[in-house]
Amino acid sequence: MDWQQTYDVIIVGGGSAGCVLANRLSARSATKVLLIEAGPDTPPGRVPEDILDSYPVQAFFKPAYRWTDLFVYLQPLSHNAPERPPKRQYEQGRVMGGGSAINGQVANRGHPGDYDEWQEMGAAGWGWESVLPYFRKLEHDLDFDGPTHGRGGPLSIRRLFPDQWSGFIKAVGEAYALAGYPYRPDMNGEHFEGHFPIPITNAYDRRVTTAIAYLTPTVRQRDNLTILSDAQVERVRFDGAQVTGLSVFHGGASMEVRGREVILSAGALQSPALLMRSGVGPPDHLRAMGIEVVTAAPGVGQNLHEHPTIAVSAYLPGSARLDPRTRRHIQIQLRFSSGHGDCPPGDMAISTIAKSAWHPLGRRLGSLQLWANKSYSRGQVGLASADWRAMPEVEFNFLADRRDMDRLKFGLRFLAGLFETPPLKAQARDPFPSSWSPRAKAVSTVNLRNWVLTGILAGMMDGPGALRRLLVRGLITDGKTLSDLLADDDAMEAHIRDVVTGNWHASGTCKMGAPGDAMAVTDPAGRVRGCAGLRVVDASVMPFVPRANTNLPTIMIAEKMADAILADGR
Amino acid sequence: MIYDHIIVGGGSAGCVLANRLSASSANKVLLVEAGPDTPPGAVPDDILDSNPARAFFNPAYVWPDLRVYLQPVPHNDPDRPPPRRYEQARIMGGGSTINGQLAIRGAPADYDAWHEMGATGWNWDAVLPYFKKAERDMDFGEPLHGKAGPIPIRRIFPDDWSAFSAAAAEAYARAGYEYRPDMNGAFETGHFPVPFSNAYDRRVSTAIGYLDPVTRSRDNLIIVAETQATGLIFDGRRVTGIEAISDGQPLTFQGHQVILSCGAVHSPTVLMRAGIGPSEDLRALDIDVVAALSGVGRNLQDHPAVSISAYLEPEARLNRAMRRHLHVNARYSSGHTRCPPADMGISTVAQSAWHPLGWRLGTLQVFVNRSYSQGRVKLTSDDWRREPDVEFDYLSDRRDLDRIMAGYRMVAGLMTDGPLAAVARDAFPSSYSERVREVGQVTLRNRLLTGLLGRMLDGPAALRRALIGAFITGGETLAGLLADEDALEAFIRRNVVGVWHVSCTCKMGSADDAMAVTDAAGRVHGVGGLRVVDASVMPAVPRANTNLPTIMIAEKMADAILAD
Repeated sequence: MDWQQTYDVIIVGGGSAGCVLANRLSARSATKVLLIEAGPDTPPGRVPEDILDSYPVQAFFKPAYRWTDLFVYLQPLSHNAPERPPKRQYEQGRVMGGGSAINGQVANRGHPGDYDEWQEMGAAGWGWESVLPYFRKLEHDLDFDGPTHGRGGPLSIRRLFPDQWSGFIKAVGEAYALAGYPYRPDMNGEHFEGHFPIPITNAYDRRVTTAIAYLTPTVRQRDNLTILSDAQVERVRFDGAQVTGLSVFHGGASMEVRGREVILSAGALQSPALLMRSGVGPPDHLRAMGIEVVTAAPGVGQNLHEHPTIAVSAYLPGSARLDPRTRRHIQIQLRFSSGHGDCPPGDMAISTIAKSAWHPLGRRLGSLQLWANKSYSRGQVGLASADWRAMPEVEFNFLADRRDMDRLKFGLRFLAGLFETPPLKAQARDPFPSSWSPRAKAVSTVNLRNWVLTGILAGMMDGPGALRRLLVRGLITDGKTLSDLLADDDAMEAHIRDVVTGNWHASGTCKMGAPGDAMAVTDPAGRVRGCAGLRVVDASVMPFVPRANTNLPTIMIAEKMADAILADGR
Repeated sequence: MIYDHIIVGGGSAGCVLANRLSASSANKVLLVEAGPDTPPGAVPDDILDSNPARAFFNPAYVWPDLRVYLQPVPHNDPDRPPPRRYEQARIMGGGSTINGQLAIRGAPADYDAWHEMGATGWNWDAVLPYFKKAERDMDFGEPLHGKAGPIPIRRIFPDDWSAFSAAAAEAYARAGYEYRPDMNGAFETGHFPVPFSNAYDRRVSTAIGYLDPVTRSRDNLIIVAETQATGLIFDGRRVTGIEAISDGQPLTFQGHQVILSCGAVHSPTVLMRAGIGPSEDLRALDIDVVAALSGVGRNLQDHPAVSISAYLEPEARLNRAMRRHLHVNARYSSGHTRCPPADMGISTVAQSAWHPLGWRLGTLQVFVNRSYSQGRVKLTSDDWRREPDVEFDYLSDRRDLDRIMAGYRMVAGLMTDGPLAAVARDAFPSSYSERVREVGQVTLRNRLLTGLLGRMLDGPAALRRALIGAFITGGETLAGLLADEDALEAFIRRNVVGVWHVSCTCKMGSADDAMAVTDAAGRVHGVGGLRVVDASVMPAVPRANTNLPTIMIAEKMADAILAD
């Protein structure tokens, strides 16, 4: 690392977007590129096994790969209420590859209508026909080819087809079909309702992160690409509104790096926080934090989107459980419609999970995780302090929009109905409302204690049905049963407010938009309005979250913006 | 049901054909494999491992009864050594499932020579598009590389080489063979990161790469594993199907065309058993001659190899997290006047076996990459259960002997001097003997045995040298061999092995070449409805590990078959 160098481009964050940019921008040998990642690097030949695992849960629960101090508010806050609800941990990648190194590996594109709507909202040039070439460019689809798919891109994508589905997954597939949602093989090519083998960023039973796919040995050998890991950016530095570089904390000291252009790819929570810390954001908020305003940008941190999620789990008899040789547990996804008058078709999704955790208890539980894929509630990201060490204040405001609550209630009833169908009744017993509660998370950390604890519980679950139901109510649901919730609308609503979680699809906090939109933070090429030499390229720029797990759309955004940056002549 | 194409053998070629021929939904394709299938999601761990040793030594994946003669020794010589085992795969993916995963193309001149020898249309410019079509090169792109093919190819670059590999690379560079990153794009001498058919630290066999879930779900492709073809069915001189046996039950399959992709040992065997081959040999076994083709089973080629190993200092051993043991290959010129440049190769083995002893040994294996000796495959019986007689006749061509002896001296010099001498001690002549094979099987006994010996090697140097002499070399020393030309020649003749690049036994060529077995599209001369598509059709073994050229052949012939 040459600290005297003036870089042409400094990319902040080696995540799903940053690794793509580092590859594409350094392909031009005259462009000196610096990639900075706060977390550890995962160089070729030294990628930890837990990251490579097709079963993502070990990597997901590993504190070394995430921002451990990040805690957020999920539900809307009543600011005059004396007591605030407790904050909840929210996992965001802090490792090379970012979210793509710890996520569920799901690689779906969303609906063409999502991108056409982005364009209508002012993100000119982001309609489906314009983004499809970049979805194709990024991928090497191991299953499908043709005009809607890519072969030859860096990121491997594959699916587990029905032959490899567990007994539970097969039964759920039949239940979906009975509900009118037939099997369709290609989720990224067939934009209809149905149940689909879920596309994953994985090949030969290995996770493929953007670090693995885009920072290959030959890319890393480029003389004009420098990779600095374990280095946290404190703030961007300006001369007036012109970027001159940034300060970064590395090896126990604050250092300065000069750059002609800085690209923030720190994710939808950290990118707006970095902007605000550097003086770009809502002026009142910046002043309240004692930060000098470089550029007033009221939209920074606003428009936070996610996919509100609930789940129902059930006990699996032996025949329904995942074959221990199969590592991959999320095997199919349902795309369906709530029928809510204000919502588009295909607005809902269910992820179908063959084992609910790594431990003996998790192996005995199948889960259906349901979310509003077209969501309307919006939250915000603000600063808690001007100090770069402080995590941002994040309020998701799940279910603040009535449509989201109504559809999750519809969804819970739909889930309960699925468990009543004959195929699922035969392969899943005693369904109960479940969630990624702090307790479920605590027991999902991989250690001997949890293994023993859940092993004992698992053995008891295999006993008589009455005992099992007692255990589920006593130890998992705190007395709640599915039938109680179905019988009482208020109880159901209270339950959903209580257990709703996100899906780690935070997005929208530095949205792209037209010049006349005061809340737009960047233009369609990611340039931050009112600044020179500053861009945001990650899920923050999404005008709203698409009907997709956000990793693949984020990679698409980076591919498309890389092209725009190269066309700018750098 | 009458199939359009019956492919016999689901190996490196057969899986390619099954994919490409069934891509046209009007073609009904049957793939018959003698060994077990490796379907998606159920590929055994030992196959997926980047270190190929466990799969290679798994007896469930090879033809158990195949024995071969390596050296040319007269049949009536009372001192003729017993035949040796020779591993040929019997599992879906064939050689690509158990081999060292090397993915090397060979030199452009190799293919230009094929064209000149009568394999019209197999010159370099004509084969390059098929090398590109087969591969997804994870490191390099256009104009020489493909990015969208079914077989991923990658390399381990110098940053990740073990200290032994790095020292060998340094030694190669000092000897004038400089570092070049792309072995499949630069064809001169040098040292190279070895390309291998692997991605994300997983082997990718042709079964994995070409028989993917979507290909397997085609209605017009039937895959039958654990079914051995026992004979061909004829109508006159036209093949109309095969006889096979599955789980003890005889079966017949009817087809418009039968394609043999059984490899260079078994494809000519199937032909001869069916009456296609050298007529005198067939008559001697009371086999009715359907087509007299003198070349069947002749022209057998491989790459003869010998090795030197050494004890590795602890810091020179392979990092425990690294599975892959082959990092760097050298390509050099013997300077022999009647041989082309870049005719020799050296494989650098950073870990000589999976066990504790092998972990402490580094090996340099020198091989004749443009070889001239020719052997033969000969039937011993018309019984389909009987393996053929295979005689490799390694070093029967004087040029091969001269060059491997000079190569041995060169490698000895590299190992005992300069950068390698600093990390590799007590170099000794090594060989792939039956004992090495025994110890190479993954068993607890072998682990314990080699663990004990391995720890003793870490002791005083004098003890180490005594142990190597007593347990490994049988007393032969490198210095002793190098001092005595006759002793060296005798040692090399005794210890030369092949590297499983068996090829050329049904060579392509024009119909007026009496030794040619097929035409340039793999059609067997004089017989209708029958092709050979595998390493057998090579006119001469290229300067390459044969797996990738075999896949290329299948890609190119698939195109020719579809164009028919």
